[in-house]
Amino acid sequence: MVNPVWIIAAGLGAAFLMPLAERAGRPVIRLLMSAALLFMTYIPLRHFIETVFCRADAAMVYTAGFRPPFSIVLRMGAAEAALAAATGILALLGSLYMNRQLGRGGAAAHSLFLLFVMGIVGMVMTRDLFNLFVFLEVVAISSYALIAMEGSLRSISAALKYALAGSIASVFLLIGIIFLYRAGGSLDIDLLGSSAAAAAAPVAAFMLVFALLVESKQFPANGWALDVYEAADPGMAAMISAGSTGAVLFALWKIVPLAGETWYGVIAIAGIATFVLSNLMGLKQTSVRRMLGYSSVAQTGLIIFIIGAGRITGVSTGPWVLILAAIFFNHFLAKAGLFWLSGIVGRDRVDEWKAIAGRPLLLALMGLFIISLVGIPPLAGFWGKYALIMKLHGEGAWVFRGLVLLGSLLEAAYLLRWFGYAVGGEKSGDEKLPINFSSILPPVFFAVLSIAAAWFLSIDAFGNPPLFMVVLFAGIVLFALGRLPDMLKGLLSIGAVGWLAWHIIPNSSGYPQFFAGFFLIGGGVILIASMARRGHSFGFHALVVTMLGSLACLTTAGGPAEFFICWELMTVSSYLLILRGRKAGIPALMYVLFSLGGAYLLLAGLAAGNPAGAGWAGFSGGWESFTWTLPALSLAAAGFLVKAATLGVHIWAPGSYAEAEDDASPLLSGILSKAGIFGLVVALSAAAASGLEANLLYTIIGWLGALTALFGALYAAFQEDMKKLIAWSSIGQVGYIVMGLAAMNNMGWTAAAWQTIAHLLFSGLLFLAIAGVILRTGVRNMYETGGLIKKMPATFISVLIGIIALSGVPPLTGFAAKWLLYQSLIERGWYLQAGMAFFSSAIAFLYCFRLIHAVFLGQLKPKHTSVKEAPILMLIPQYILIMGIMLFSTFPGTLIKPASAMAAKLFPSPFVWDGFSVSTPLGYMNGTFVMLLVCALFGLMLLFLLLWGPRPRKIGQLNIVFAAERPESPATAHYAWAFFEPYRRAMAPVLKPLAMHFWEGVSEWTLTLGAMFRHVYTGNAQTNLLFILIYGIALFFISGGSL
Amino acid sequence: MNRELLVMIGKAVASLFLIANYGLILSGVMYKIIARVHGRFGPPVWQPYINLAKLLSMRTAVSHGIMFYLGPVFRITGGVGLYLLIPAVYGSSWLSNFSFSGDIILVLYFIFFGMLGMALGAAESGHPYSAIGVMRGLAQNTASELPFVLAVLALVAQYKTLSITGIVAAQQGGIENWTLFTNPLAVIAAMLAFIGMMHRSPFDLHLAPQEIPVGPPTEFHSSYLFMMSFNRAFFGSAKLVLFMNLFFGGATSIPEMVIKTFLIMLWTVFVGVVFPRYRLEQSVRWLLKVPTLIGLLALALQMF
Repeated sequence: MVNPVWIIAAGLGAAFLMPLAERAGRPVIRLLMSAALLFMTYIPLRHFIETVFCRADAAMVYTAGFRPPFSIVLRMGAAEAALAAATGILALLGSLYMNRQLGRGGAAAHSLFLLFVMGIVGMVMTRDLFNLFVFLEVVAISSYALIAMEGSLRSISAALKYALAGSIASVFLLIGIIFLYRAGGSLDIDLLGSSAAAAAAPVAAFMLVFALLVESKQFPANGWALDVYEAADPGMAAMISAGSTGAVLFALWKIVPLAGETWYGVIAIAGIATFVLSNLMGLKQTSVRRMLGYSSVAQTGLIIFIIGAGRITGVSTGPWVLILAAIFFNHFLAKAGLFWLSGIVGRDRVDEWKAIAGRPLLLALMGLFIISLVGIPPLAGFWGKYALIMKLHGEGAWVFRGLVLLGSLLEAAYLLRWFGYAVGGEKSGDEKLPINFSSILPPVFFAVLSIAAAWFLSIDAFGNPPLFMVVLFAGIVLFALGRLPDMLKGLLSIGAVGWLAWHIIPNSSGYPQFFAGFFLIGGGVILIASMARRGHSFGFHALVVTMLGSLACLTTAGGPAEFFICWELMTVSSYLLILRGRKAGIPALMYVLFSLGGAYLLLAGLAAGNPAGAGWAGFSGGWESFTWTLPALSLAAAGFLVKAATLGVHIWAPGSYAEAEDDASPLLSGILSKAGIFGLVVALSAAAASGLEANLLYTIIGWLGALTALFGALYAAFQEDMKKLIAWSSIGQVGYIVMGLAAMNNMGWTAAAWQTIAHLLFSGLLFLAIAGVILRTGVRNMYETGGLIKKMPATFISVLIGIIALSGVPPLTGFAAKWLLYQSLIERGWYLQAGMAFFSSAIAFLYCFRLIHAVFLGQLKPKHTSVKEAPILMLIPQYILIMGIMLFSTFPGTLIKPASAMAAKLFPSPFVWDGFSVSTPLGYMNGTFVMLLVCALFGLMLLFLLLWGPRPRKIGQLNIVFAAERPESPATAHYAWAFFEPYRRAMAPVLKPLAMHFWEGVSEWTLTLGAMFRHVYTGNAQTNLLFILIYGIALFFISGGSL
Repeated sequence: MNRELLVMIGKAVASLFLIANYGLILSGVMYKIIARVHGRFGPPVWQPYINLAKLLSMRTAVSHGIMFYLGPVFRITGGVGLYLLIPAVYGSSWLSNFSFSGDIILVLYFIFFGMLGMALGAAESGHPYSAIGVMRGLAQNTASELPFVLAVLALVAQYKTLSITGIVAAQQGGIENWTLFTNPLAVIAAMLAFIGMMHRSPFDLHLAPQEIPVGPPTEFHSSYLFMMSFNRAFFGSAKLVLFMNLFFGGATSIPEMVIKTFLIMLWTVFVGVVFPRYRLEQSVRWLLKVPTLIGLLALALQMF
């Protein structure tokens, strides 16, 4: 192996040769620098391979052959090698990216860049405190110059602010080192030994830690850092954010043990405060680079927190280092990638990023980096965050867990809002972006690295490629096939879903099998409609397949980690699916924030019930070792209820369901909304099986379900937009399922299973039918349509069957759901909830009628006289769903029997079957007979009318008894707008959107709070310094230090 | 098997014949009573028969479309079906109808069948008044169903069964066993809701029978209107029988049924002729306040 000291030699040597090389011309300096950087990357890479894969010992370099304290020691272990190699790769790509900027600066710029990189690697390797200081200065000074190199007033002033802050930090660092040397008699970190020296000179510990915290840009001593990120060239910002910050963090990692135990707690608090507050302040940010700055600072805070928290919560070092590495390298790749992208796109306001809408490569890169920062599996950040939450334990762990999750949610908010602008914008297409090979290669390379890391980590966690990786792979393939016609992609997607169904359903049983079948078969049927698309819609099929696949994987998940991964995959794919809608920017953001909030609640729940797993986080551990304690169950249930859009956390749902693309809405409302239900089934059944007493929780969930059913129905009745109407109705209908589950008895769970299927059937039917109407008429407001029965009779029949099934009128499916539900509630003693459910279902008639009346009945508008029936490919899935409704309506036993048998493992079955008649201790029903009776009566009456009544004469549309007048136009005769206005007035007192107001308040207050903290950043260098000073004093007091 | 089926059909036809005539005469009597209260002579009691005969003999009919055509069919299917699902006379084999096919929940939801069907037919006529009538009817219906359901739930809590026959059986053995006396609050709530369910004044806004033609039937005529009018005989009687069964001890013979249902009907007429009409906001709010609170109280008493 090459001696690591050559890295320093190569860096310094090449830097000093630059002025000479310049005489030979530009290409030569470029060549020289590239060669040096390659060499500087090769050495640590080689060491990394040796130490990690060949288990070689860390290489120690004793300069000049002396032993410390007489020499400087360099160390090249696995961690150093990883960081140095990563820095080398970053530098190689960064220099490629900054080709033009460096070229403008000539030899000087090249030398500075080399020195900068060499300093970083030196900081990483050295074990000598003074040497560390020297390298830090090398890095700092070269970065001041590189930042200022851009030449604008802003960049020069940012460099100056950096220099001022940096010099204060350096001074403290130097004095600290002096004190430490005085007390410990050595400068060598290993010789000083942990905390012995600090005990002798506490002030030295304070100064060292303070200096490094300032260098790592901790709040509020970081005003300068944000200006640097904002003003520096994006290539340079990437180098600072990923490269030099890494070195500073590594230095902190080396030095904290010297400072002593108390400092772990202090830096944990300092780090988590920076993480949360920076993300809070980032929320209102509209400048992309400054926003990325906030995110960088926050990530740094998180890493510092982990360094500190590892010790105070007593986690063993092995997993801790892996957590640190996962989160750091995730940040490293993603942040560098995003800074590079920001340079390529060249727009600094977030809303100007619509410039990249319609550019799949840039969007994919941006999306990948953002979701890795947000911590979505299987990217590296996820494994780190998941393990962090699982591993934190001991006193105060709940506070820390909460803060980490809160900060992550805030970060997701502003990053995803930015992403929403980029995706959701109108296609501009003709805008020129400076994309060339040297600028696009670095982010692409980092994206590939991220994906490789994700692959490696997933395999590492589960042994062999888990099913969700297969699903992801299918999604990626479909994305890559984006140019194929939609018809073909639709077929491929149905094939993929079918393959999964074939693979999963026969191999599972009970509820997992039920839900797998539900997700895949239901999804496959609805997918048929997407073949009616004309053109090449990029990504739609990929996302649908990923979403359905991850839902199916959810049912096969063997343990908490896998479950959570599938949950997150489902969340992110459905988010992107919603985001495809034309006006879906804000609803999609709401959806993903609520979903992530829910997912974090779930994660906290998993942490509460998970034993501190073996390995680095026990990813492959199964459910057996998991205990559903009351906190675990409550938190997880809360997370699931968010997904099921229960009242209070439902506000994401109407907009998301409505604004998604028309053929995606049935998937979201029919299929996706059941993910929360499946989660509840998993959690509640495990809790019931373990004999957990949680009656209060069940009662709360039951009431939430009842209120959701009521308010879903009420709001549905007052919508003008047909999709919003069905969306609200869906929310309400899922409320019934929640009630059934909460009843915790056989009939309740049977009712829930039935309603789950029934809801898919009718809500899928309604959304698909309405999709056809919107496709043909181009309007979504119900009052703009009317009389379409004559133009779209087949669609009308779908809606008719859909609303009858929905409303619960016998003989169709909705009735059995209600029949089962009321009995379960009565058995539980929940009479009031039963009354409320009935009231809700009575209100359901209002919106059912409104939908069918306003769209299909009443007066046909002149502009719709030439409207055609919906395309056959949209009608096929509708009629498949109708067949399902008819089957289950006529033979309820086909569903009640297996559903009750599934629940019988937990609760004894109360059903007694006698032919087609089923009875329970409370009541009885014979669905088949009712169906026959109704059909027979209907047939007889119709026959009578046909035979007896006079042959009816068709008359004109406006030929009505209209107070002896003729109405002027269909528009004035179609009573459809504000249909239930008197009812709305009557119900006004209960219709206040309290949940909406609450969440608006939360968002308002959060933003205001963020804005308040931002007052720290005046942009004035003196203020920056003042805050550094205040920070120092505060730190001193927090540490409780006595000089 | 075929024989059984024929017997079943024969019984059902007999039961329907009985209730149709009873329902028609009952409404004739009620018209008479209302007229007398108004100080009019009023139509003869067989006027409903004359109306039906007149409607059936119409020689022309117009149609606004298929749903318009099917609306009355839905309506009468709903009315006849509803009656057939409720046992009319306790212990009678032919007047128990098809009550074996479902319990009170089935009946509660089947009430909506005809209502929804006719609403759809009316809506296809394209007449705004029809749509307004449907809107008013459905909206008020939500409010009148709530106290009724609370009362029913109180009964279920009391008798621990959903079977109508079971509830009637529990009330046998003397007047003191009637729900009216064992659970008076539930009965009050239900009887207040009943006025709304029977669409009597003050809850008859959606039909507005005295004014210009407003309401779901606006565009219907001839055979269509025949079916809808004839349906009232079944639908109204079915609801009367239901209330009798739930709250007034049911009936063990036809005369008992006639007397009890007549008195229940008289209650709605009595209120109807005295009170003026509510606007929709007023009726909805009133129903959601007074009877609903009483219903909640009845339920609470049973639960605790």
